[in-house]
Amino acid sequence: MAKQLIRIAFCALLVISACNKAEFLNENPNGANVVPRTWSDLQAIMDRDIYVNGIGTSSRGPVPFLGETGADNYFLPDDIFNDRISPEIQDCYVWKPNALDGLAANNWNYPYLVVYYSNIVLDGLSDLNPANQKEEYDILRGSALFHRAHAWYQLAQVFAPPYDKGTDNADIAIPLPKTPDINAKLQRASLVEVYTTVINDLEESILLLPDIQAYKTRPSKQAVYGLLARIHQTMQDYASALAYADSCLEINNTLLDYNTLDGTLSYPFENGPQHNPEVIFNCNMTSLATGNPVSPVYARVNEPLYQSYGETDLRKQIFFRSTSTGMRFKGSYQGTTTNFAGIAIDEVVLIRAECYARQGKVEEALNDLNYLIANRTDNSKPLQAYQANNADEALAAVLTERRKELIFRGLRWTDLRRLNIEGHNMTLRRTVNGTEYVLPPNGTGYTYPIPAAVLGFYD
Amino acid sequence: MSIFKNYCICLILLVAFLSSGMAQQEQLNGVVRDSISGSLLTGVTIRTDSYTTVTNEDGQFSIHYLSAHPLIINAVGYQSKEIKDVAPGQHLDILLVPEISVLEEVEVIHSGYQQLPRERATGSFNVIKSDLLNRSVSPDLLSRLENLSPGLLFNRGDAASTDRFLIRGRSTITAEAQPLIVVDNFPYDGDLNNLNPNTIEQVTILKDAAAASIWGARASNGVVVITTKKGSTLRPQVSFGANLSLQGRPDLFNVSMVSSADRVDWERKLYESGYYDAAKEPTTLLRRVSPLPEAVELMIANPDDLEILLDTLRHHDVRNDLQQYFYQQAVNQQYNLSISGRQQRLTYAISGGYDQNVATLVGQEFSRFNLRTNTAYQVSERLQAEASIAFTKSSDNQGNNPGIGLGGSTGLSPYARLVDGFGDPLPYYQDYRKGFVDTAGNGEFLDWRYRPLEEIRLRRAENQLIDYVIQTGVSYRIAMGLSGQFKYQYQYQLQSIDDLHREGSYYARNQVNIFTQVDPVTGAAEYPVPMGGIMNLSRESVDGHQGRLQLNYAKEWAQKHRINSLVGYEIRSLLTEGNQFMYYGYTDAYTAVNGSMDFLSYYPRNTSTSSTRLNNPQQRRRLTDHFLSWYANVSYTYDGRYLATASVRKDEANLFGVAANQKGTPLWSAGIAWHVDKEPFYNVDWLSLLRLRLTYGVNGNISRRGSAYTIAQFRSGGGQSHSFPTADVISPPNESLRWERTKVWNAGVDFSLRNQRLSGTIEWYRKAATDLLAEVPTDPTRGVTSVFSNAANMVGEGLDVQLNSINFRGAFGWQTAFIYSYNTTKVTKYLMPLADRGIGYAEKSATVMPVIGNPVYGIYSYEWAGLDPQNGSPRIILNGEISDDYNALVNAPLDAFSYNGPVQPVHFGAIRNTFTWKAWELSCNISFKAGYYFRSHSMINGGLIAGWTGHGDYQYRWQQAGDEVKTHVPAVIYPANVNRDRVYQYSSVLVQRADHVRLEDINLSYRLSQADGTRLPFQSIRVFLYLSNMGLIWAANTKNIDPYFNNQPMDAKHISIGLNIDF
Repeated sequence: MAKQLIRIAFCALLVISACNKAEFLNENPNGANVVPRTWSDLQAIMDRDIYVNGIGTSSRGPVPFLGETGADNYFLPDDIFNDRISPEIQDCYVWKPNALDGLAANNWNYPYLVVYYSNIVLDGLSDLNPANQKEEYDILRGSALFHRAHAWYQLAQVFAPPYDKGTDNADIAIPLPKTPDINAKLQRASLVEVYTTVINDLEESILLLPDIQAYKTRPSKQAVYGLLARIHQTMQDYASALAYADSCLEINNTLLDYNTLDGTLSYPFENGPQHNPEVIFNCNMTSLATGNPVSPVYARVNEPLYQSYGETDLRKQIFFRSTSTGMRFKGSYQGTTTNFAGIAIDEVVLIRAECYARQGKVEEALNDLNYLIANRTDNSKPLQAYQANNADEALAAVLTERRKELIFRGLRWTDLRRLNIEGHNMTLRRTVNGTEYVLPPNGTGYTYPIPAAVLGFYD
Repeated sequence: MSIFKNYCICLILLVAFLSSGMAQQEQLNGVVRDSISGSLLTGVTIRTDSYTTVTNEDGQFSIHYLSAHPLIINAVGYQSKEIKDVAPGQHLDILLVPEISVLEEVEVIHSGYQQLPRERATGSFNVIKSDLLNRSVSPDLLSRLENLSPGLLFNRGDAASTDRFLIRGRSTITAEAQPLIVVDNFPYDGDLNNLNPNTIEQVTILKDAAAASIWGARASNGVVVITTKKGSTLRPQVSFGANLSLQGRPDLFNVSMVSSADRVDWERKLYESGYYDAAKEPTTLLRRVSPLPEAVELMIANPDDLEILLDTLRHHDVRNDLQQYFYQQAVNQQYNLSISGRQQRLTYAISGGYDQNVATLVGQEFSRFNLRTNTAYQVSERLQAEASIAFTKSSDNQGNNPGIGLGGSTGLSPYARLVDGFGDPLPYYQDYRKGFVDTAGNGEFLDWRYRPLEEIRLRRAENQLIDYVIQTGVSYRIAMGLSGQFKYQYQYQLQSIDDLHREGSYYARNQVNIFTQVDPVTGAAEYPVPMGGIMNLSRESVDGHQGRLQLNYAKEWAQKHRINSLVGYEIRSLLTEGNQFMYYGYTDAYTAVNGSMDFLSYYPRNTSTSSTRLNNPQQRRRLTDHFLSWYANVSYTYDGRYLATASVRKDEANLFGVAANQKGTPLWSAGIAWHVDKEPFYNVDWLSLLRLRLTYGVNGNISRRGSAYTIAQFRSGGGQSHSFPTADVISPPNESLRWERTKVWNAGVDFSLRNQRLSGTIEWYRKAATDLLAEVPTDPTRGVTSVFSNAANMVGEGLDVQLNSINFRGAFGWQTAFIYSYNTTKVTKYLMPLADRGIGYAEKSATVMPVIGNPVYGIYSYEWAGLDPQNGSPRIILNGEISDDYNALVNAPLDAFSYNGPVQPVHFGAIRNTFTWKAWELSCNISFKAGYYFRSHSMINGGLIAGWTGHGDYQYRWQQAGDEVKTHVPAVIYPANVNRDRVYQYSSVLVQRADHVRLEDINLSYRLSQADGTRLPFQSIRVFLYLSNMGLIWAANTKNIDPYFNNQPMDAKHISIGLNIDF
């Protein structure tokens, strides 16, 4: 009897071991769906530019539009404010945001969708053996790290307090999900953790990515340098910002000569970011199907800002056209009403110029600045180059030019937060239906509340 | 698949190992059979002085035999027997004589893994034997189970759209709720209509955890175990059965329709108010094309005899045309022949069946051919091999006959004339306007008229099913009480649908005409869609392998202890593949011209201003199910009085992947039973049987809604900014997914009065379903706002009662069988917030819209406050006040609605009386259902305008002040207000109680048998008359609506005659 039991046990063992049980149970249940397990599956997910980069008309993207909503590039005429804008956005427009509800999807969920896609790629790659496809594997991993860090950074500009170099930045900020597993515990990280994580990931991606990529929706090493320059600038670490801006421009510093554009067109940048030599990384601001306050359809450019462009400045015609209610922006590098919010060489040139000025390198700063305006000024007229007698004058010149060059790119909000910390004391004012609203420097209005639908999931 | 093969090879090897190397032992073998029927007896105790054994499911036993002591054979329901002077090594064939006092034969329960007598079970089982199954004559098995067993609910009428068939209520939200169907030991993955009810020996229903948990992850909804007939008698049994059923045309007047006169007058009113002005002199293509009702066309044409023509329409009812020409009397024929028997070591059963049905809808036919053989061969004392093959081929044909559904999106004009005075087809203009059809294409188009009657034969949609199931198995007696068995089943089912629209059919002509390009200069025509027929084909195959290795062990000792156990390992692989495509230019010579067609270009359509590609549907599907399971079951009996059972099973599946499987816990059950009547102290004379049972356990259920893996779906056409492939993530990975689980308590009492005057079973149960897969809101930070997760709960509670009484015995006999079930279920946990607008719950805008505290399917309605005496508009109570603010009502949250009750019955059952007199037997079944609701139909104002028909309530509409006391049908207004219609449609005034009692069927039979001394050329003959669908006896609703046919054509009574002969 016992002998037979042993025999049975032996046979049973044979059954179990002879076959690959894991393979049997891992078979894809539905052929129409793909369980992403190969490099090409994962690359296809990362290439889903409609979600990852916000290209097209899906309203998605990695850059929340609430930053631009609060910034001082535009105003809303009263009838648009009253009739076209939801109450929730009206509150945001006058810097009194309530717990975000309907807006959460487009400002919180969509950037986090980029994080989710990146996490799926990173998670999938960790199960792959990179030996036979080392290079592709590295590039894809670098891309996912970049997209995720970029989205985190963008979320921090809206939903986290401004980074202040002079403090410990221990404020509670935003969650940093690092796995697609929906059961993983999530916590809100501190501000310093957010920036450290973002920088670490980007530094890793430098080692993985090629200098440039054929398609600008795919991140390149140049894009990482550009983004790191921007992030260090945000953190008021100008030495690092300068170094990264330098590395970025070393790869390529070509600017688009606006003299080659037809300023009379409805959208002078109609060729789009892919064919714009300035664009390093192509992505868009999120949007709303209707009632997007920062869409050129509604937003009217602040008059003093418009008047600050000189008569020989090509941007005055290329960026704007007049309407019955005021000037309308038409200069998105996307060549449509969608706001381009990617990384371009003009921004990096301005970062470097600012860093030079702050280091007292007046001549270098002016060189960069004048290189930029040479490509922005009507070449049939004499160029009025910037002059400066000292670093302060140079910095003022750079900031003026920065204000004019980078409008509706989602950058002004971060600049306002940063410059006010440095004591620029800019007070924003808006008048709606005769009532004036004010956003004082360093006010709580510079940090949006975390959406109510999200907050319920945290202690 | 190769993995599966590996497994099978391993299993076969294992069996080979087991059977080759077993030591031979001296012992006595034999078989025990019923002395009358010759059938093999399972569970018979055989005792010597020192050893005890029981017969296995094939009646076999083997026992150590050492001395000259007698063998003592005992079985419940049989006289015990002693056999002396047995020579060792002899093969015994023991016949047991049934105890005369026990009229009821011993019920044997088939769980799909084992067979055991009822008194050794603690769980909730119901057995339906073949004689009861064959009391009714429907061609499918499932409908024959209706009204025979408590706890089984067949939903009919509106409720059928929720769950067709349930055991003890629904205990899941999104997963499959239909019970698992097992045929001869393995789950059946084909179409249930493949089964021929006449080849079925018995059906066992497994209802509670102790009964079903051996099926583990698929047990939650209960299990229906079907056992086919096996050979058992020494004498070959040949039987033949045939029956013929007739059913009249359905009553179309049960579908309420506005009268033709009212409709004509209404259309005139619309015409006069300018609704059709734009169509008078159409300026756009859309206006020229869009069809109009016939009366309106007449009004526009305005001939001199307009009033006469309209009057003709007023007096015509299209339902007469339909009933006469589109419906017919149904004729069903059924034939069966079976042969079974036992010869030496071989048992065999061969049966064939043929069904031929002509449906009430003209052009619809069904035929089915079944063949099944079951054989078993006793290879040696220890080894038995068995094999069975079942083959089914069925074919279901339909013509182009929508019946009462004719009329497309606008509905059928009540005055439409489909047939002229000579019975010839008339055209009906439902897609395009008559004027457009008559003139379009300048003669280059094919005839564009649609003649419904002629079209019936111009389409042939043939749905053919071929199914074969091959099962083989060996069982081997390893040692005393220990046996091993290996079973393997292969099933292949191919379903092919050939939907042919013949050349000349309206469907094909329409496709050609839509795209025909006529050159405006030369007048020459080009045909992007070729002439000829159009054939839509779809194929779906199911390819299933299942293997099982099982060890059984039974032991009885010290005359009081008895243990029965089994342990097994199972593998299952199921591959479902399907594809679909279309042939253009199809002719009966099997030609097609797809190759010369251009499916890429956009062609302008003649019926609209858009251009489209030619329709070229092609689709492929592939689903794979893999399961690995192990299971064990043990029961212990002490002295026949106390019984304890336990069962455990663990399933692993590819649905969840390896990681999630590892976290899963086994599903299990335990039960106890106490045979009170067998206690020494028991002396209640009048109550001869009293048994108490209690079980608890956890059953599982499968849902495909969640995924343990990340699921992506490739998008066509590359990215927005590049042309690389792109993929969407459609579902995040959720490694903590697990089986849905249902915890079931079951308490039962079985009793029988002396002489079985009254016997029965009463059971109470409570099902707590947890870990139900449902949508759950999730932190949007994770990238998704909701996921399917094991997060919902439900509870169900109920009562199953089965009572049998023998009211009269003797020449005149009268027996009554009564079944009653009570079942309530409710959702107790569901995490998604309620939808913003309550009307979604009334309209059922999603498949499931759970509300905590209510069943998954419920009826919600606005609280009716009567018609407005001023204008006859519907009014509703909103926030305690009477309101006619329809926008506010439509946007109101669920609080503004009242919950009327469930869509499925809470109380249901049946009572069957059987009278016998000499060779006559008369039985009739009356069923009842109660505690549920349905929504009656009424007039929709907007539909009257946009559609061509309307509900008959039109004639009861409010027309003047004071009508509000007589009617609840609102005044008709023009233009209509969509929300006013919706508020009325979903108000409580239209909600009806569905409670009713109906006469299900009557069976009258006459039986002659040689055993009774009649001289017959064969053993026995039974002829019968069977009447079913006999209609309502009582209904609770005030409108005299049969809830089974709520505004649907009413099925006519069904009459069958038939005979069965045993040779």
